[in-house]
Amino acid sequence: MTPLNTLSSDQTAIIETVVGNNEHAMRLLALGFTPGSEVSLFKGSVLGGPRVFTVQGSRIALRDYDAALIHVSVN
Amino acid sequence: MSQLTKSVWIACIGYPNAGKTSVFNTLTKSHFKAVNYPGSTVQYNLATTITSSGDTIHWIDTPGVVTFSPGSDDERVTHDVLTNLSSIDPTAPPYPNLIVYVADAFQLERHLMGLKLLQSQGYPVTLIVTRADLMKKYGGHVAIDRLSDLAQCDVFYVSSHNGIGLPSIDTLYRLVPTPPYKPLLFESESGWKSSANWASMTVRKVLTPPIAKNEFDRWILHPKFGGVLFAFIMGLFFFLIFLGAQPLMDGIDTFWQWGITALHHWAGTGKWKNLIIDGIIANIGSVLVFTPQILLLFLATGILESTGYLARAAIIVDRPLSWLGLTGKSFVPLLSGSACAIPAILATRTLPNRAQRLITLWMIPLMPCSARIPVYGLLLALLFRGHPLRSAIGMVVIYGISISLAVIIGKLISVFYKTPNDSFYIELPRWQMPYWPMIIKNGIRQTIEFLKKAGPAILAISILVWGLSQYPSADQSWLAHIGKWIAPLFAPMGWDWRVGVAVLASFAAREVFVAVLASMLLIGEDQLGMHLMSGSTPLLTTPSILGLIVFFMISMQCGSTLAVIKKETGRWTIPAIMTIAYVGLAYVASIAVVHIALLF
Repeated sequence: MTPLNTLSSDQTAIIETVVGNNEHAMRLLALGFTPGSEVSLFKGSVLGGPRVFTVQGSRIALRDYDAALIHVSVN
Repeated sequence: MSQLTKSVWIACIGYPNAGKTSVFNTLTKSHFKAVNYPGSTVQYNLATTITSSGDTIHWIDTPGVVTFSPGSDDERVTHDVLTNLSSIDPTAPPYPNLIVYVADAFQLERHLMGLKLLQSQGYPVTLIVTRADLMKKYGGHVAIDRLSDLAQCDVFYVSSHNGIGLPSIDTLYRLVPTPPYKPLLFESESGWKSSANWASMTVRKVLTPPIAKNEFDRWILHPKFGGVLFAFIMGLFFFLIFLGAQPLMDGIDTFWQWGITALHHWAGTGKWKNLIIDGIIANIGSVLVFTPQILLLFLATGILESTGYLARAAIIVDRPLSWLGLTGKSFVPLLSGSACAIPAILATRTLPNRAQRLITLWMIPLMPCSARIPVYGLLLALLFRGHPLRSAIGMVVIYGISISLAVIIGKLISVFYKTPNDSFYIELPRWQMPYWPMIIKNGIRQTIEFLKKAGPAILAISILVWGLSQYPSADQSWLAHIGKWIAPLFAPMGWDWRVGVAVLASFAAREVFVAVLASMLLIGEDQLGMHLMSGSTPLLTTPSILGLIVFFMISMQCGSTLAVIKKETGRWTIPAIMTIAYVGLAYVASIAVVHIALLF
């Protein structure tokens, strides 16, 4: 398992778990980062900002701070 | 039920960008009114419709949320609608009688999670899946009957905007369950997880996914070009607004001047006739001339928002804003600030914590709002007479300096407020063609609101200035006394006492400056022509114009802004400090600029 922020652009991964406090984890789950979902990196950061991930057919931008809370296993 | 008619409450709930407001507008035929949530300035929409059986439906629209727990202020409204509806309206039951849950077909899996969660808490829900037409266009499909079986609720599949497929209000009324229910009011991580499992299973059974054709983002969010493209789009945004407005402004100006001449021709002259024609009508015209610019600004913001670019822009500016302790979420309030500070301040309610809100609040008054446009417009027209292109470039430069200044002040302020966390996430809505009816309607509504707000102040001050300039006599007027008395205050900038009076009057509302300056020119001069920079003793010189521009960039001159900041922060402390700081800084900076300009 690795944190999502280490995913490179040619990899896809399966979400294993979301860590962090209850409130924060719940928000990430509600955004679509649910265990079992496939996730990939759509775009690296613009100007060193958030990265854009594709999950459940949506594009969601996360700062590394948030992405690090999502643990994935790389296919 | 009895012979008496009943009244029920139906709440519209959904994720942000689900198409909830569009559904709400169609169901209520846009006969809604925006209402302030008790104790705060979060707005939600309420509407009342009557069914064919004569029963009443109260509709309540809620801010789009990702979870149902109250984190930010707008999330609290949705939370309270679900758990304590009577707190919003005492005539309402404790919980809505029915929930119309709106989900986007393109985001079905995520949006179904929220549906399941509400159902598992015991809420009676009817599901509306939006964007049926777009889904079809991209080769996707949702098997609605199957979804209805799996979700155990009625499901309607509707087109975006035109409302095809939407149930009638009578149909929805019949879906309201008769026995009262009591929800569990419980949201947990495990609840979300089981809802997520259900949603992912369901989507696999009902959804034929659309062919992804959303590749715009490869360029817009390109690691290298993304930033350049952003600067280019924003520059073009302001440049086109100012350049595009020019012919319209000239048109209004010509028409108004013609009208005034015609009025004089018809009515003749005289003290009272002059007050009405030159004092009031001409002053209203001097501000009305800037309506095209203000309208275009609102329209252009609407276009950026409805295409989906604003969310992308928020990502691009997230890193620079993090330097101020902010996130990309502050971008929308700051950009709105370039139209008007009031909605911008209200938009800070979506920010996740107090420190980020306060830093953003300090920056908003420095954004170049539309009340400053008439002032800059006049001053730039004087500076670059007969060169609209240079004026448009000048306006973009003013905007650039204002924004840089806001960033510097934001950095200073961020030293005082520690932002508690570094979290930032944002969902990218699908790229869409601008939906013109909504953009135009909103643009016109916001422009009319601006004129309504400015109108009374302009009228009152026009009459006051006219009165003061006429009594006791036109040669020895009170206005001249006041003007000469305050003249030393503006002597360091080299502003004539008439300019001083106009600046003083602009503290009632910035745009009044133009109207008052126009009235001033009537004193001792018969023509309203361009006497400002010509003649033996010009009223304004290039250095003094630059000084005025800088003064208006910084100075805090908007009572409504201060009142809203007070309301949002709960105390007068911040508005008071802000006024002293920004007026003081404006004063010092304009003196400095005038003196530097004099060196050349």
